[in-house]
Amino acid sequence: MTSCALDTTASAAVTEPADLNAWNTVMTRLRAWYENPDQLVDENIVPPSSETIYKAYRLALAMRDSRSPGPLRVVPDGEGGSVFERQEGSVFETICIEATGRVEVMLFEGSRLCARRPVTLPQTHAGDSPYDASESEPSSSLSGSIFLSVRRMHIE
Amino acid sequence: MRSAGGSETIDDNELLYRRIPASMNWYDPAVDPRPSPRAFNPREDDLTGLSLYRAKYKSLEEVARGLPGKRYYVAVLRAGDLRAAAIEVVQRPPDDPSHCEISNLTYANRKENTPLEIQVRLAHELCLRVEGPFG
Repeated sequence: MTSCALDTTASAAVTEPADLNAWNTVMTRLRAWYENPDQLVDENIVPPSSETIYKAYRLALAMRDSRSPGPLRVVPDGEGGSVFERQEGSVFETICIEATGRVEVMLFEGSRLCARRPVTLPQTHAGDSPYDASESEPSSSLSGSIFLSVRRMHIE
Repeated sequence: MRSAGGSETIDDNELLYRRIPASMNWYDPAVDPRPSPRAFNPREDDLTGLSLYRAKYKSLEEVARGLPGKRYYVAVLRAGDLRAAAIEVVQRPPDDPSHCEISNLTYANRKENTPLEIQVRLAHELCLRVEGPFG
């Protein structure tokens, strides 16, 4: 396991400090989940697997480095997956990484669901540590921000 | 007052409680004064509706009682607000008047569009406040 390059690579890639901080905050939380998954055990709740957390971490890393707007938070979906949430004005967006590996983006205007679509992420390797960035896909493979691309398709 | 099925009718003015595990990060007042819609995602045992408790019969502390050593928040909703938003709330099962359910939000339909919209509406528009954490 190698050390994470969170703090040394971030500032060069992201221009908005608030976005950088938001991504770093959720990545720190994902690392905490990875290191101590027992904290997410509760009644009738399936905690995210290490593989799901890994995928979420790699996605956060790529989105941070592609200068994507920062998320509000990352939460467990309660069914073994993880969800990034973002709010901008009346638009609420989510990226859900399900336990099955399926990734879906949803966009709400107020509480009205106006877009949802599956997203394909770069291949990752189950069991890899989220700290090891040596095999990461280039950020460009995500075509920039998933949040922004969905908004362009359905809002603007 | 009881319905034909034996359940007690829930008054529009009644407050309803939904327990939120603190460890899930579904509510963090430092991030957002509103809970995440995930706090209202039905779980496997929500077969006939999303579980809520009635303030008329249970205190916040009682509702917040979960696993030992865990902390919980409690989201507060009003029955009439839910009904005004076309969200059905019914007392169920008949032998537990303290419990009720949002019947159009179940584990089976949780990923359909309208139930997803209900989850967002509960979290972002209809949640009056969040109390806690308790435990």
